[in-house]
Amino acid sequence: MPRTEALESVALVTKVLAVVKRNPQYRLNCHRIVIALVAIVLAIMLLDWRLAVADDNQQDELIKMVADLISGEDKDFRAVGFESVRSGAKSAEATRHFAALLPKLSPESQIGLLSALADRGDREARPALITLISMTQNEAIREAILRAFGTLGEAADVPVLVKSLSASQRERTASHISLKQLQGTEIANAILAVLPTCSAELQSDLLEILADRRETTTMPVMIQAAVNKDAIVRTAAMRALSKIAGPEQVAGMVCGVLRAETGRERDEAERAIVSACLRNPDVTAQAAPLIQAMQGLAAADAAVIVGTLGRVGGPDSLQIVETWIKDSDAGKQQSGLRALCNWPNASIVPRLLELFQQADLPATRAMLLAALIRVAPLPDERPNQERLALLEKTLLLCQENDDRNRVIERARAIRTIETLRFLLPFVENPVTSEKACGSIVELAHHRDLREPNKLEFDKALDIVLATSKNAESLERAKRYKIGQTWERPKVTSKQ
Amino acid sequence: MADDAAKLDSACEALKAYNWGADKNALQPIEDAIVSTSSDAAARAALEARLIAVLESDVSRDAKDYVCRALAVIGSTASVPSLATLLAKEELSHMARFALERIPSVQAADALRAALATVSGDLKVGVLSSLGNRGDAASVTQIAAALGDADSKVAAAAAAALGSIRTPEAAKALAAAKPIAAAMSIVIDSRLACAEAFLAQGKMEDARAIYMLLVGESNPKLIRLAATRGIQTCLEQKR
Repeated sequence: MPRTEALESVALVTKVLAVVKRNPQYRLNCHRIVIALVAIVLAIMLLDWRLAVADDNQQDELIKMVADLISGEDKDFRAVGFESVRSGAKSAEATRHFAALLPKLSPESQIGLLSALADRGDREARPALITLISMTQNEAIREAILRAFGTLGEAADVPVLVKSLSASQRERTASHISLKQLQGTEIANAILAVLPTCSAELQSDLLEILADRRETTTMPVMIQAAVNKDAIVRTAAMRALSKIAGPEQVAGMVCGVLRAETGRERDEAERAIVSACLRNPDVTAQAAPLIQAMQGLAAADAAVIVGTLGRVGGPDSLQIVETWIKDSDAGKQQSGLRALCNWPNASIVPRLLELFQQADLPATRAMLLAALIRVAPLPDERPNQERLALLEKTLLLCQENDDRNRVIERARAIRTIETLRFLLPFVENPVTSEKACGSIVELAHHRDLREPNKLEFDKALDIVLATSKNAESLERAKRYKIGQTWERPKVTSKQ
Repeated sequence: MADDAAKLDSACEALKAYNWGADKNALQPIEDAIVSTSSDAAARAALEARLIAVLESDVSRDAKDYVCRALAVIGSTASVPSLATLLAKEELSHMARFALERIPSVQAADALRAALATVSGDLKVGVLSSLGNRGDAASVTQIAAALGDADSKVAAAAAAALGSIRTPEAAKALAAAKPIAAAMSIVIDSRLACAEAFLAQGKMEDARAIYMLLVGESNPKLIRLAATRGIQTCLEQKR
């Protein structure tokens, strides 16, 4: 502030001199005025200089104090020192001083200081991290350094972080987080530069990181990776695209679906395309890019993609799927039926029922029945009674106990007291008992359903407790009876 | 207006016979008058005079409690002498302080300060506390004298009061204090309170001087931690 004032004073002197020049009566005292003003300016500048020196001394004292604190043995005093590193002494010089302490500290203090420097966020500390990581094999310290790279690192640190993705679990987790956290427009290119040299597992991690960073410019590389010879890379690429791709990428992603092996990989790839299609805010046009992509495909490939089209749904898709179902070619018919069975909502239930009645082949009937069981209880604008009635109707079509059990399992999606009443008779049948118990406890899990119907639920839960042999069902029944909740086991995204 | 005056008369009469548990609606005209006289100094002074008259008369403790509460809102210098006489009375001292703490005149503080010489024990603790709550810088010398009191409650109350006042003089008195052991923790808390006030006012050197006093090994660890953090904060401030 005094420096600003000095500059303002110089401007004032200039103005005063201009006034003196214009008015002869002031000229006699001109030199005195100038001397006085210059003296004022010099005094202010001297004060400014003295304050600056005092500030420097103060900062030196603070840095020394912090250094003493974080080098000490008492963890509480170290914490006070780390707090200053986090938010105090805001200068690059102070950061360099703090970072220079790293090699001299105990491992515990090093970890604390690394965390504090990371929170401080001043990249002046970065060279110290690079030196330290080359010197230490201590896993906890390396983990802290890798975490600190998240806020202090830059594109040049990507190779170190990527290399650490193959190290111990702790280093791997830290690197993973930091690669997602690194700031800068060059990070994506730095990751892409190392991608081809990595193992399939590492490529899979990096594709996930790129998607989590929302690096949309890397989608062409992801689309390329979706047809990689390694299933791990293909799956990761489609999974990454499912997070960020939109309708524009659907054509490219079709190749990923076609390259995917039938089963889980294909299933996941199809879901990724559905995610991309559904990102189109225009609901009526969501299937359009997929329909367009299908047009250039060979018959065999189109037969695969029509199944994906069924997952997207919509009137345009239905028109195409119906054409396939009515085709004279049995293979195309089957593909069309498969597509209809993938439908995302219950709007095609009447058609499924009609086709079920007409179907001769047991495999076709089984596929249609499975679709009915899946879509009947899907939550939509239909009233719960209608959904339950459809499920009951589907139950009548079941010939096998496995199918009946699927119906009983799906019933839990209709959260009404009528569903509980529907399920209770199945507890008595040993074949359907466990599934019915599972669905009953699932209904009971929802307090807003259980509490208003406590008497009925308590009776049902008593029956579960007396019947079920399943440890999870028994545990849940016990908890719900006494008003407790139950925590679902966590499912990781890669499971 | 005449109707209101009649109701107030009746309420003042009811107040003279008031006891907790009696119908409080009878006193409602007094409450209404407190509100309605907020912009009429003469009417408020008249109301205050009527309440002082009740306070000075031979009425129940409950009625005097009620008057003290009312004077805490509308009281002025005129109420101070009557309230001051209650400071030495065990049953009414706290209610008198309740009013005197809130009356903004210098005379109210003078009355509390004067009472320090006449009361002892819990009553002195209360008066010290009231002076602290008023943030009465003029009382520092008298309060500081109580820091060495043999009664640990009095010494602690004096320290707490100085910690509430938080002037450089209060800080000096606390720095020089050598109270009995039982009051020491309050003295330290109050030193920290003064230092924090100086920090907030930008008086870094004053704050730092207190913190330096508290980082010594003889102090409890938590105090040393707080003082260390305080010194850091002082050093972090640009001049």
